[in-house]
Amino acid sequence: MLIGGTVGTRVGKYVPSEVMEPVLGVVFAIVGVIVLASDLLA
Amino acid sequence: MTRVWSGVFTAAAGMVAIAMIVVFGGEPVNVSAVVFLQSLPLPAGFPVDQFVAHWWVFPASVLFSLIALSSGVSGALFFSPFFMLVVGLSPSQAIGAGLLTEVFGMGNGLLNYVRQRVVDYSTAKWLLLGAVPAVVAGAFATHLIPTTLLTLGFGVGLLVLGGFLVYYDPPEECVPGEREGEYLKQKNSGRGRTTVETTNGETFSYDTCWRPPGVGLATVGRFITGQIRPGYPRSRPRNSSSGVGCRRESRSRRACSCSGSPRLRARRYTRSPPRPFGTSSPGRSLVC
Repeated sequence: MLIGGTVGTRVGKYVPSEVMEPVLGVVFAIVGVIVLASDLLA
Repeated sequence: MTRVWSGVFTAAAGMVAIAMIVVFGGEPVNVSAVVFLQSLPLPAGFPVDQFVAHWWVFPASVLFSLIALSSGVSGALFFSPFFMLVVGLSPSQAIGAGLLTEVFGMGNGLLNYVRQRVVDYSTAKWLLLGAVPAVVAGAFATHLIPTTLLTLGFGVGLLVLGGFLVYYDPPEECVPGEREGEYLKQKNSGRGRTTVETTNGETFSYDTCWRPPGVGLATVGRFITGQIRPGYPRSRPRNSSSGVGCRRESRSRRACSCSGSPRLRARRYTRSPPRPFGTSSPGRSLVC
């Protein structure tokens, strides 16, 4: 966490939003589907 | 120069991680690794078998924390599912481990961002003004909202948020204020400019936004965060209801002419019977 976090805070501002935002969007959507599926199917 | 070295280090770390997976990934190699480690002068009681069996958690954690801290997303969003689905920990163990790693990760991230002087304190203090009381109030009101309703709201909210991030243009491709109506244009104008000077000489300057909407969002988000009472592993009966909440903090050039990437955090939680605030008994907890 310390290694990745230290590198992440330095490279984060150089990552273009056009890459970061779609990736995060997909991640959030997947987690959302998991949450709904786990709750509705339980 | 910093960019070059960061890229080189990241690429090197990735290559080392891939090489470790290739070299030590197979079971026969694991046996060789055990023999090799046992030949080293390790301290007595060093868990060689556990180390060989779980070494890959380390590079995976580095990767997750790199993604989380570079994008401002909670590390527990990655770690808790990883611990549960891949490592094989129980939900309570995964939640606790995920939150513990988040404490160090977010603390380290904050420290680094402060050292780089990229924190907009003038905006942050207003957000904290609403957020801190709200998270306490949310903790007190933890029993008021049905957990099933919050679970569904959380899932739908994540889907909407994901669609929003995928659909809309990134800030670099937007003209600040292009989607604002006359009302917001009027509110966002004439408030001066905010300038942040970093330690490496970069300067970020943008129009100071109209802060009440941001304070409102931070207040609502932290209230929901207080509802989920992070940090307490749950023990939920199988047929009990569950709930979730989400917290979102964002600064968008599109919305208020402020710079910065969206800070998005979302958590899933469950709830056991409400307990007095401040007690050590388990209440709501994060599953992330």
